[in-house]
Order: sequence, then structure tokens, then C-alpha cells
Amino acid sequence: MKINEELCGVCSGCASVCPRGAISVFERGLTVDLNLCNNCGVCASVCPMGAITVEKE
Amino acid sequence: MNYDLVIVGAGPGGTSTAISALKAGGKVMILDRKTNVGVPVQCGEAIGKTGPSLAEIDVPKRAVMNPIRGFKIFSPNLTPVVYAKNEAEGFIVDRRVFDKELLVRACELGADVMVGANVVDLVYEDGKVSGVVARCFGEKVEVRGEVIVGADGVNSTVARISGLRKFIKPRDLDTSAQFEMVGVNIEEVDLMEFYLGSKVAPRGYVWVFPKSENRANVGIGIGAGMGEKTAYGYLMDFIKNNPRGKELCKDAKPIEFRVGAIPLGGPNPKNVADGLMLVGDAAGQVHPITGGGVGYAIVCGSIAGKVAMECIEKGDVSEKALSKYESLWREKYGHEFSQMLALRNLLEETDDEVLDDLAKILTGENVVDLTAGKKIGVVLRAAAKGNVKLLRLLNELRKLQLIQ
Ligand SMILES: Cc1cc2nc3c(=O)[nH]c(=O)nc-3n(C[C@H](O)[C@H](O)[C@H](O)COP(=O)(O)OP(=O)(O)OC[C@H]3O[C@@H](n4cnc5c(N)ncnc54)[C@H](O)[C@@H]3O)c2cc1C
Ligand code: SF4
Ligand code: SF4
Repeated sequence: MKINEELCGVCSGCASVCPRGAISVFERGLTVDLNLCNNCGVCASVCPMGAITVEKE
Repeated sequence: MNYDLVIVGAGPGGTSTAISALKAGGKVMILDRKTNVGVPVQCGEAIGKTGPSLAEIDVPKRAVMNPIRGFKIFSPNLTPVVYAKNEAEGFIVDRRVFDKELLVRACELGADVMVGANVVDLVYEDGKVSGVVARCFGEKVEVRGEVIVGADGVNSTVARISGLRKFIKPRDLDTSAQFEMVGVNIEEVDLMEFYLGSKVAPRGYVWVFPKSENRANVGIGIGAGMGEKTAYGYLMDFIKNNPRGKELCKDAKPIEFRVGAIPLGGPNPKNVADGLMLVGDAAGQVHPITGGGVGYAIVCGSIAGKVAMECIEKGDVSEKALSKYESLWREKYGHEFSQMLALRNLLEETDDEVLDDLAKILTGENVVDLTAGKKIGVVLRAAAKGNVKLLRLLNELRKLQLIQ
């Protein structure tokens, strides 16, 4: 999954629904632990800005 | 230094927990990852209409922007349901000031505070939570306390690490976007406006909350992942294309834009563990329909702080002892939350046309009663005579004990 930082407003919605706890929220942005992420796409479905894209391999 | 309470999060839930513990003589530390508490504002800033009354909240005077005496709800075809009292029953506040003032209150009562402190882990000792680990200005710090309180909001790290809420199901989340605007063509400055409908805001609503004669929060919350557009997309659609939205916003200039997430799937099954309590959004103490959570966070936080100090004084901070908090707050709001969750699920399945029909027969008072879980009278069924779909909805409402 990829986050477009220009669109992200740090609402932390994606992090709170991620079943794997892969997204960490900081005051000014997010980091994603790609070792934990399995590209399930749940986070992308809740983003109010459409900032997340997930590519299924 | 070993604290009585270590509170993660300086939102209304955290500071109210602190204030009540401090009043009971506690030593308290509050940590927040923000370097500027209260900013950014992720809130419609309406206080006092759902849930706890203004008397229970003790709103900081400096935070009050605009008194509110009612609302207009617009159904999908813009049929209005109006509720207007003679006196103010709520306020639009400035959350930047609101949250800060509560933090100032806590400090003046003796709380220690660390801002810019991002809590990343919990410290366990003999199976009991006994501290937190935070990253603060490039350093790792550990803070110990008798009771750790997770008041860290929708994406609660404390809830996740303790296992009390590992993640939120998307359908239990609302995602939202909001502009604060100047130059809004507000009709009545002391009435809030709400817009419903599957095309306006799937399983949610658009709100227009006036902050002054020409300044308002114009925002939206939608069921996460519901509908074809993003929350931002629906909000822009309202502003540009909705017949009323267009009129309201045609001269308006956005001075702020924010996104947010609201946990409205009801409270977590459990909000206490050995040495640990959850409060506010972290606990899911949010009205499942309105998404209002400030008042609940404050009242539940006050209960949490008091119970925590009682338990510390008795030398027992086990889950069993702390569960007094859980019973006390559930006694107040547990029934309301579960009933409103059921109502939310029902409304989610209700067609727009039925909502339009419902808007024709409901009074503003009816809506207030419904969303407070109070039964409303039989008048409705007579008014719905012959309308099969509407009668079916009313029948469901009767099963929920919301009408007679
Ligand atoms: C768009 C939107 C509109 C809303 N409108 C209204 C409204 O009009 N009226 C109403 O009553 N409610 C409204 N709500 C709900 C309301 O904002 C929340 O219910 C309320 O803020 C909950 O308070 P809290 O103290 O539990 O959490 P928050 O106010 O979210 O505070 C949590 C704090 O914890 C901090 N934190 C989080 N994680 C960490 C960490 N790991 N380490 C350190 N600190 C951390 C955060 O920085 C934050 O300051 C709205 C919510 C949204 C998103
Ligand atoms: S849900 Fe979207 S806007 Fe919110 S924090 Fe995640 S990427 Fe950013
Ligand atoms: S794609 Fe799935 S696993 Fe990866 S960050 Fe998003 S929700 Fe988490």
C-alpha cells in the first residue's frame, strides 16, 4: 500500500482499522511497516481523502 | 517519580480524568503526542445537545463561541424537521481553546504534563500494566504509575497494545472531512443544520454548525467505505451541488480544512484491565448516531479518575477493583449506546423515500427523544396510515422500545 502525503490529513482512520497494526501515527504524518502490511486494502476503504492506494500482486 | 495516574492523551477524556483524580488528591502525569494540544481541531465543536447536559460538562467559558437553541434536520428531499427552544441548550465551542483550557485547569490543580510525547508501548510488571514508554523529542522516556489511563482517542495505542481493542471494524467507523468557512449564508445563527440521505452522506450526515453570524463548520461524516465517493468527495458535492448547500456556501471562504475519524460502533466489550483503564474515544464512548463524544468523554473520565483514586487508596488496582468504573459509566450510558447502535443499524437500511416520509410526521421533539433513547407517543402510527414501508419502520422502532 502507498500513502499520498499530499492528500493525507492525519485523521488516523486507516491506522485504527488496520488489522495488523501496520500503520503508526505521528503528530505530522504516518509510517507504514511494510513487513506487517499484507495489502488487504482495508485502510484504503476508510480514507476520507482517497490518499491510499493498494496494489494487489 | 511514581505517579498515581499516568494518562495518555490530553483530549477532553484525559484532562477530565486528571482533574477528578487531582481533586481526590492524586499525583498525575498527562502525556500527549501533540506539541500543541487541541490543534488540529478534529471536531464539529458542538457541545451539549446529545448525551451529558451542559451542567455535567462545565464548559470553559473562554471556549464558547456561539449558543445553540436547536436544529433543523433536512431529509434527503430537503423536508425540514425543526427543533427550536427559547433558550440555549448547547454551544458551538472552539476546541483549540476548549482542550487547552481543560489542560490548564489540570495543570493548575497540580498535574505534570509532557507534550510531544508519543506513547509507543506499555510496561508490564507481574501481568499488571505499570507504565508507558514514549518517544519525546528524540528521546525514549519511561513513566511509571499505579494506574495507566488510555485516553488516546480513536486510534488508541493503549487499547491496541493491551488487547482491549486491537482494531476497529471499518463499519464501526465514520470518516469525516470539514471546512471552517467565513461568509456562510447562515439563516439562523442559533440553529444547527443537518442533512441526511444516501446520496448526501451514506450512513451519516452533513452538518452546518454556526460559530457566528457568518462563520460555520461545514462538515461531513460517512460510514467508512460506504458510497462511491470519499468523505471529501461527498462534502464537495454538498457545497457545490446540493440546492441548499450551494446557497449556504456560494460566498463562503474556507479558512481551515480537516479530516477525522469517529468510532461509533459502540463501546469496547471491556475497558479495564489490571492497572489499566480506557476513556473516551479509546473506550468507544461515542453516540452511535450523532458521533458526539466530547460530553461522554468528560463525564466518563470524571468517573474514571475518582474510581482510580479510590482503588489506589485501598491498595487494589486489579481489573476487578477498577471495574467499578465500568459499571458506573455503563449504568449511565450503556443502555443508550446499545439502543442507539440498534437504531443506527435500522436507519442504515432505511430507504431515502422512507426517511422523507418520516420527516413529514416527526417533530423536532420526537427526534430529540429518539436520539436520547426516550419513547415517543402513538401519534406517529396514525399519521403513517396506509404507508406500508413507513409503518414497517415504525414497527421496528417499537421493537427497539423507541415508540409505543
Ligand atoms: C470530524 C469530527 C467531528 C466531531 N464532532 C463532534 C461534535 O460536534 N461534538 C462532539 O461532542 N463530538 C464530536 N466528535 C467526537 C469528539 O471529537 C471525540 O469524541 C472527542 O474528542 C473524544 O475525546 P477523547 O479525549 O477521548 O479523544 P481525543 O480528543 O481524540 O484526544 C486524544 C488525544 O490523545 C493523543 N494521543 C493519541 N495517541 C497518542 C499516543 N500514542 N501517545 C500520546 N498521545 C496520544 C492525541 O494527540 C489527542 O490529543 C467529532 C469527531 C470528529 C472526528
Ligand atoms: S485515512 Fe487517509 S487521511 Fe486519514 S491518516 Fe490515513 S491516509 Fe491520512
Ligand atoms: S493494506 Fe491492510 S495490512 Fe496494509 S496497512 Fe492497509 S489495512 Fe494494514
